[in-house]
Amino acid sequence: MLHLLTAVRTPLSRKLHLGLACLGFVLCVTAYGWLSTRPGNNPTFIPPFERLAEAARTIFSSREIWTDVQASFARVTGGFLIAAILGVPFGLFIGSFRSIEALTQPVFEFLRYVPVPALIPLIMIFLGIDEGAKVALIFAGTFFQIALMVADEVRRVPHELVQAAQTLGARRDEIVMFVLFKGALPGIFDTLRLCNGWAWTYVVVAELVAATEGLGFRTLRFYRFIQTPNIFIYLLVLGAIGLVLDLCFRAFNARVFRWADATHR
Amino acid sequence: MLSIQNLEKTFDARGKPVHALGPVSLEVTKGEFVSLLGPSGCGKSTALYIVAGLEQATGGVVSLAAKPVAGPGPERGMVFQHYTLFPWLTVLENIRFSLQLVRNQDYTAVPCTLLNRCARAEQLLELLGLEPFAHRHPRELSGGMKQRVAIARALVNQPKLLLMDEPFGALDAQTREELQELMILLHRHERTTTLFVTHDIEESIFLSTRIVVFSGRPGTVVADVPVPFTPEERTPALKFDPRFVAMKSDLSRWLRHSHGNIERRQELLTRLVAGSS
Repeated sequence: MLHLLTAVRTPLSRKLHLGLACLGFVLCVTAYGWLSTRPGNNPTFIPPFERLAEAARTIFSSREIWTDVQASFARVTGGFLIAAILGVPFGLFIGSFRSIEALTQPVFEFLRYVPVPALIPLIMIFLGIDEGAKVALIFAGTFFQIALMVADEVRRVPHELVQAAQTLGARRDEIVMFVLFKGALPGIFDTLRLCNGWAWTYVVVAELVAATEGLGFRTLRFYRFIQTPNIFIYLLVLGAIGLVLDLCFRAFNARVFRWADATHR
Repeated sequence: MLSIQNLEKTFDARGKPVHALGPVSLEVTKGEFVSLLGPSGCGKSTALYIVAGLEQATGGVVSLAAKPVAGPGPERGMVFQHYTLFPWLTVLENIRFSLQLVRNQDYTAVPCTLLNRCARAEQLLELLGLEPFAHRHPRELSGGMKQRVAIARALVNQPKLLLMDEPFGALDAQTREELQELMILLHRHERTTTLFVTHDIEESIFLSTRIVVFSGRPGTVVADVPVPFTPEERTPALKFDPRFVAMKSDLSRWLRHSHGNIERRQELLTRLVAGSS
């Protein structure tokens, strides 16, 4: 039995895999339960389960949580979609043409390492504190990453495929569209999955500054009133949204890119 | 039809020029199946890549039907040593790949010609025994099947010249023989002028109408031998024919000589044996 768990790179059975995944969550909950019932624990810091359940009941029966989810979701999706729509073609060109790579890659590499929270003051000066500023922050945080990671995926398409297409008569544009783009597509969607996750990080940062609703904003509001149980519930909601989106992306990739190796599925 | 004149290739290896190939001159006429036979690293594949337009020569001219070759083109189809099928396309889609390309669209052609070309994909599919796999993706195919698809893909557009770079090198012996017989059938059926790179003597005799033997680096032509067998004679039994065997031993002698320093190695070996006793 033990050798099943300790073998290097050996696939687990589906049952065992699911069992271990659940065990991970159970361990976290148990540890939390132990911490919250320890003698001397201040229930304001680590509220016991019944306080959490009570908080969850009030939160999920109010409209507030849904407006928060909606607001955050709209911001993330807006910024992320614009970044993806612009970033994917940019990445395709960077990965396909050495001249464009030389021109843009160093600049993008530099911009990618400018920390997103540090951009907040500048964005507020340029765009104010409205929705536009929040979407812009998410865009700035994900666009350069998407472009550079997509370029990497495009470069990873084997050169032999390009040569094969050339001997079949493919022109430059056909090589880019029919070989490089098609070949990189599973990797591109994997990149989008990762960057969507980062976008959710940035939306919380954006809402901490100036907002009237949103999951990040509400969490900060709970802090003002030291409503720790509510903070925990909101964190759980944020985590759940991230996990569900990730699973959706994965399911989509596995369905659409059945031809690819397991690395992208 | 294909004319190669004084072809040369010099690589730059960390600032030091390495003379890999040439000068090589070669004429191939229509319908011939010419093997380039030589030891590994002799530049025969480089020569093929230059003919394909995928590599630049440092000297000499390659021309096809009196037109000098500049860059890759659909009139020179290629089958590579490694598997180069598009993994996102099914077998049939891979074979049809070239038909959708702008350069291969004959706008003056009436639609029925286009239909014929599509039918050609189906025809090749049948000829190569790929019908049951038409809608599979490459990752589901064995190595031999993948190379069959690659051959069909290269032939669908009716290239003037078919270039093959050790296409069966990665296959097991049995699959390799199967594909060699298939090549005979295809050449009888299609009569495509073929340039076939290999280091397998038996394969070269079995398949080709002419064998060009290359020396070791820098690769030059040391022998140019016609293969006298008729297409009908090329069956597995041919490999036991005395003429086949004689030719094999001749070629292997040529190859060994082409390696140059065989005497030196023999000498070294003798000395080693003497030293150990």
